[in-house]
Amino acid sequence: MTLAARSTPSLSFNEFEALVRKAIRGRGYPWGIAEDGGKLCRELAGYLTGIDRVISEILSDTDVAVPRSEKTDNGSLIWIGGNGLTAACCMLDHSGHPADRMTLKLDSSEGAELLASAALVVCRQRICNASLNVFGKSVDLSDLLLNRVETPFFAASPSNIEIHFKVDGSSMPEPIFRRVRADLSTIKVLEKFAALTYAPETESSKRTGAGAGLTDND
Amino acid sequence: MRTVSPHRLHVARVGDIQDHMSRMRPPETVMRLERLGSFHQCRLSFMRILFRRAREERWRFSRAVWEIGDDGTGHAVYRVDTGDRNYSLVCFAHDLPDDRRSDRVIAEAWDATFCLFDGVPTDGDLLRLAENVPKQELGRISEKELTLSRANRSVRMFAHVVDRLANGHQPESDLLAQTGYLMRTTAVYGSGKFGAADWDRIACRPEFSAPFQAEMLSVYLIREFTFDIAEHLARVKGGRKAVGLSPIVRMGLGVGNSTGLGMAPFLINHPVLLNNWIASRERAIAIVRGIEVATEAEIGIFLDRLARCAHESRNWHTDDIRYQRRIGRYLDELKTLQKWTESVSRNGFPFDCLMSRAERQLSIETQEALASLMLEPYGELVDHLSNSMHAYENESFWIDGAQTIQDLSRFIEGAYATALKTDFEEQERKHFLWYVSQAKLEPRLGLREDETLTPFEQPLAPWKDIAALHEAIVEKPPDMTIAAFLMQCPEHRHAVRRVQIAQAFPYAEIRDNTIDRNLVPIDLLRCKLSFFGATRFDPRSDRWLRICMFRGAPSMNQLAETDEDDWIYPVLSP
Repeated sequence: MTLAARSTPSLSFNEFEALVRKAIRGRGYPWGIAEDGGKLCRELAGYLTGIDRVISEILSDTDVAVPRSEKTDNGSLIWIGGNGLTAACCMLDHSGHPADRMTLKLDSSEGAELLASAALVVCRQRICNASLNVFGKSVDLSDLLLNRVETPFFAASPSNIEIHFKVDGSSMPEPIFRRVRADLSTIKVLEKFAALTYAPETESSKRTGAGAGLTDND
Repeated sequence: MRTVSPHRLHVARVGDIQDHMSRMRPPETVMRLERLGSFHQCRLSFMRILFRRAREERWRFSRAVWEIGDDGTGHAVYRVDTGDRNYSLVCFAHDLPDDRRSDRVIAEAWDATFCLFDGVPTDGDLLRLAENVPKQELGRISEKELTLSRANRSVRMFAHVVDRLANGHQPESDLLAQTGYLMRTTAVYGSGKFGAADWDRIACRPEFSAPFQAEMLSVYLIREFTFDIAEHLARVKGGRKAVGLSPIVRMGLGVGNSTGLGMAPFLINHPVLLNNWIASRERAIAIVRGIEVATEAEIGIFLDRLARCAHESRNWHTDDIRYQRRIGRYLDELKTLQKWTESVSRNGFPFDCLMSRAERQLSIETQEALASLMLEPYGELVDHLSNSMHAYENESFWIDGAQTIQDLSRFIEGAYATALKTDFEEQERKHFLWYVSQAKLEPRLGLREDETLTPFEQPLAPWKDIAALHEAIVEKPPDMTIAAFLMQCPEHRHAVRRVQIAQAFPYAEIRDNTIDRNLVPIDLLRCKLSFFGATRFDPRSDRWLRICMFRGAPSMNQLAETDEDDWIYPVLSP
């Protein structure tokens, strides 16, 4: 039975991560991006609701695209193209870069929330805080995570996002939620994509795939 | 009186950490599938860790509810009071026709189903669990539950025991020794599966900080249930004539388990955890090899456990021809070990001598048994290593994009040299592929020649993937960063992660080709099961096997009286 077939999809974080990972892979992304995507969604779901919607929108609406990076005149990095998922992976990979400022120009603002998740991971590693600047409006990452930002920050956001890491020894807040309260319709979307990673059952695979006999009355 | 801390004793006996680190067997020796598939339980097995804690902390066990009817159906609750917290195993007993009994994951009904509840369940909780637990994967549990599991009767053994008890007799000892259990579990799910609590949420509790402790506690309590349900049915059948299981018989019964391919990918998917298990065991082995002088008492303990292990192994039966040959040789070699011990016991570094000689002359099966057995006299030196067996995998998950291609490439060429020599164009080297079936969402092994499966291949062939990664990076400038490389070639992302983890965790990677025609999947299963503490590995094919757990363990009302952590080796009859 699928999660969507149940009345209250309150998921464990492990379930949510696994479902997202499989859905991303099912959508056609490489395994490694699926792994990161699952973890990033899990991290963010500890603080924010609606992460199931964020990832299902990425998978439903955009192409599988990976951004390219360029260096600006002042030495900071800029990413062009991609979506929130692939840009978040790139941002993670470049987190060891000496530049403390990252700029992203996404093809689509879908899933830009995942950049906050990637920033959270980087901040945990560096023991620092970050500010996210979207079209001139700036917000502290910890405020964003603790829901102290009044409106959904990334809603209808433009594609230009700047992230500024402030190495000030501050630690990130602990997760707020212990479960993922997901929306039935988005779970259905994720399960639809996840199902694309499952091989259809055949009599032969049923009989031999796991290798066991059929009865065990001994 | 002044006491010596285990740590000081440790340093005094075996030298410094650097010294025993240098004695650790290298990953290229340990991480071969043939060796992993020869592992035996040891002091660091999870069952034994659980027992040591339960004994030290004086956990109190009780049967809180027994609502089982004369037909053997109903529910029961077993409770554990650890002092700080309560846990409850909620059991549901069912009437299962023989033709529906299957150990496979595709089964839809079982003789009994269980969950481990965090605390004491209310009537409302019990109603909710009664609705869901018997359905297993088709039901839904909550964050109040820590595990979900089920078990089937060993029909022959269960019927025999019920008949004998009903007629006022204990079961026949030969049959007991051969089978060793009344019921076998066919799955024990934890860590957030089917809605259960995430491990992260309970990892801060000392009783669950070591791996799989909630699962081990569940299986231990299931064992109690198997005794009680057999005695209950015997009383129904025999009335006043019926007797209960004697304490000795109880001790001789464990819980069986059937394990199939579903468990196999776990070790590949959790490289840091695998590293921590293996590294802890290897460190323990190295510590004991580093002991220069063994006391007579220590040699005595070793010889005692060796004799008891040999005795117990005579009841290790299987229909599997390959294993029959292995066990036959193993039994002979245990006698050889006994002789060798007598001759080396007064030498310097006796266990190092024994191990080195075994490595030259004995089978891998016996080498690994020796590696486990020689830890037995040295609990004070090695038991603390159980504190390093868990893994916070998130901390090592993220890719280091600043690493250069040159650095990554050099490591691959060293650690994965054999993988790079493997010709993956050759069909036999990529004979299998791992996929997940639509039916039960469980991992399975298919033939690559079945092209319908190819699109569904899981990333469970590290050698092939890392060979492909290497081929891609040799084309790139050596000073290129991994971050830049992955922007160009994101398809290698998962392989890069594996290699970087293997750089930091030397025992993280299996040093064999997991899709080779010669793959024996049960090697993967046995490795994991040995860390659980399983014994009597009985392959039913190359893809699934049966085992026994908790055989020899004191039952819950005897635990407080148990002093030694040696129950897994049955005491020899005088």
